Amino acid sequence: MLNNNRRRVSLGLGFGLMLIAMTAPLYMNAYYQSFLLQLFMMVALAQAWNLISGMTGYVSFGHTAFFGVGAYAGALLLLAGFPWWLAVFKGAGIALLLAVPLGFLTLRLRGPYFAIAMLGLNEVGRIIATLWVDLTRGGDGISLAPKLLPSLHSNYFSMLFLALSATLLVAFIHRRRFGLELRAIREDEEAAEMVGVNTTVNKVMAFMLSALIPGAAGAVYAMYTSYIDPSSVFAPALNIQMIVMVLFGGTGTVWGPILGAGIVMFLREMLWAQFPAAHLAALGVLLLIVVLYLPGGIISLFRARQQRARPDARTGAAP
Amino acid sequence: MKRQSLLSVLFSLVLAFIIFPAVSQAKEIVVGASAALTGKYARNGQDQLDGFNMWVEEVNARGGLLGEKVRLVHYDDESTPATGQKLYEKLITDDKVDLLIGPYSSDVAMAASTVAEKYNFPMVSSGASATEIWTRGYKNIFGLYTPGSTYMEQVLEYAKSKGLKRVALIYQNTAFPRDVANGVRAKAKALKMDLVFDEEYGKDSTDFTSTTIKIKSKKAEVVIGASYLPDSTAFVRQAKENHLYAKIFAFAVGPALPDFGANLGLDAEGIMGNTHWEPTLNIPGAKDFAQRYTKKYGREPGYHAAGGYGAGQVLEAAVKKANSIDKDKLRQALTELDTVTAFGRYKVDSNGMQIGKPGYTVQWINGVRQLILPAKDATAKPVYPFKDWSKR
Repeated sequence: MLNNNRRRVSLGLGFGLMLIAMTAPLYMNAYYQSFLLQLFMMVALAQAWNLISGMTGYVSFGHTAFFGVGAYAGALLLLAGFPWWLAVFKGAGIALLLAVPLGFLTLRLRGPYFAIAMLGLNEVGRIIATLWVDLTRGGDGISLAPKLLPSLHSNYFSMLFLALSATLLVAFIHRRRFGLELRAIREDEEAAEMVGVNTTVNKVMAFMLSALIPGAAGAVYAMYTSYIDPSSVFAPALNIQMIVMVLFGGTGTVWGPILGAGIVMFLREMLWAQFPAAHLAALGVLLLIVVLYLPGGIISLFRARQQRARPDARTGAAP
Repeated sequence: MKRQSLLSVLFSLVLAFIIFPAVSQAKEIVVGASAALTGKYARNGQDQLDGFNMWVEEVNARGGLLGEKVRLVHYDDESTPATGQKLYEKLITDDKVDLLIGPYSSDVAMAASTVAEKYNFPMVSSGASATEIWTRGYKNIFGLYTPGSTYMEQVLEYAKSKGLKRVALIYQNTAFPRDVANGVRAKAKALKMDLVFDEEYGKDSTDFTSTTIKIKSKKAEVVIGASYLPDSTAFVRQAKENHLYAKIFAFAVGPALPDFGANLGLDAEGIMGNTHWEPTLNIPGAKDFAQRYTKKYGREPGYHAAGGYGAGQVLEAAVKKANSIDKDKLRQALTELDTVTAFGRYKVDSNGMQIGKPGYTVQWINGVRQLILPAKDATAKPVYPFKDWSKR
């Protein structure tokens, strides 16, 4: 009964947000669309990170590696004359393919070792993009001319689509056996293996899915900003943002990353013009408070309330 | 329930802010710009912004543009291309500014100029000099700075005249330093000098220990760094620590700034650099500008500040020439304009790249930044060769 209720609230809220997002270009100017586009990007990235790190507990500090690969693939394919949507697909595909061997290699490592390996992976990506000048133009970066670029609307809806599919993917997995198995790995990998969970396959599958989204997001990002260079797409700071947003909202949940990305992006937007630099410090303090006092993220506020409400609901229904 | 309704009220408030932007104010001409106020270009960005602000104040004292008051809207681009991109989108579509001034640094300008091009909005750029910005066929970006690829030509010619042959080149891996480096390679080849060392370093590196040792082993006579302020300062410190000696040391950006001498003290002595502008130059209005600037901000202007001020003057001249702020008329005016500001001559080619303004070379001599090349503008004779670190 309660579960159904929650599901209905979730669906209603999701539907409402989608309606706003779908109609926003009708009444919002380009800047606010740009803002929402970046919000969608962060939701998509945070969900992707949530998929591997939130669910399996394998904390990745290098998901921007896939973002960077997608961005470079997207930009180069666009320059090579591919239509933008095909470039995005291929960017995502390349990230996905790359995740297979990398997943098998890195997911043998546990805890901090995996985190460091992923951080290293991102650095490797950045260095390759810097040194492979013939392909990537190195530190000059790649500048895409306006006539090549898809319109803001196309980029907007692409990012919206990515945020939506990332969220649905997490929601879908959450309810399946696959999701349960991933969470079992997070709680106790040996025990999960004992009861017959194929941990390697599960982890690599989750890793691949979580690489696909940043790959696509990177390609759309390149087409949106029009200029990329190695340090702007293989950016550890972007990875930190994904982590912050997930922690902020609630790790391993469906709504957590959306909530986290939403709150952080809105706060940033309201503060940054007035307080350059200081807004980052303010966000840091806020995050510290959330992590210390709400280890389950902002979403646990809603959870706690519902749990408190449970006995009342029962007695209310009993007579 | 209560909390839910509170949340929904909050949510609607946020939405309302988005849907109804602030009411516009009285008639005025709004100039938009982004400035690097935080991040690695913060020092130069602030100087440039001070230059813009001074122009705005003065143009208003003169009665404004086309009889209307001028107001500057600016935001911090955090020295990153992505933020700059977002800000120019905001300036054009949300703030609906009338005129645009470009951001500091070539990489941010690369992104910002694409936004301007997308909206077909002419932008006067002070603070960007990578040649590539003007080779993309854009119609809306007009530069004040001499292209980066020409930066080191005078230094190399001077070195050649002293019979030096062995050149070491280091450069940061971003757009502008790479452009400078390309210029060095081409010029060294043309002068038949040997490039004995050629290495790129990371955007945020400040550790050059291994680089200095490698250059030492190559016995370079001329050391050239295509750099900004933090990296050139760090390199000089470490060159001294590791006893790297050459007859000429020259760096982009850093040595042209007062901070370079202030940070390095005696170690700055004899180091050469490029500049776009010096207060001593024989340009109408330059000395006067320097005096007013020093009075207002309590420090001497470097070329970034003068460039910011000059960008304002170029806009002013173009608006006057076009007698309008219409984008098409303004673009044409900016293309045809040939004028002299406190920053120097402004004349661009059909792509908007600066061709009217020469570059200059400076050297730190007795704690003062002196202009040494070209000879006709020089305030001091070059000190040669470089005095060894231990003999100062």
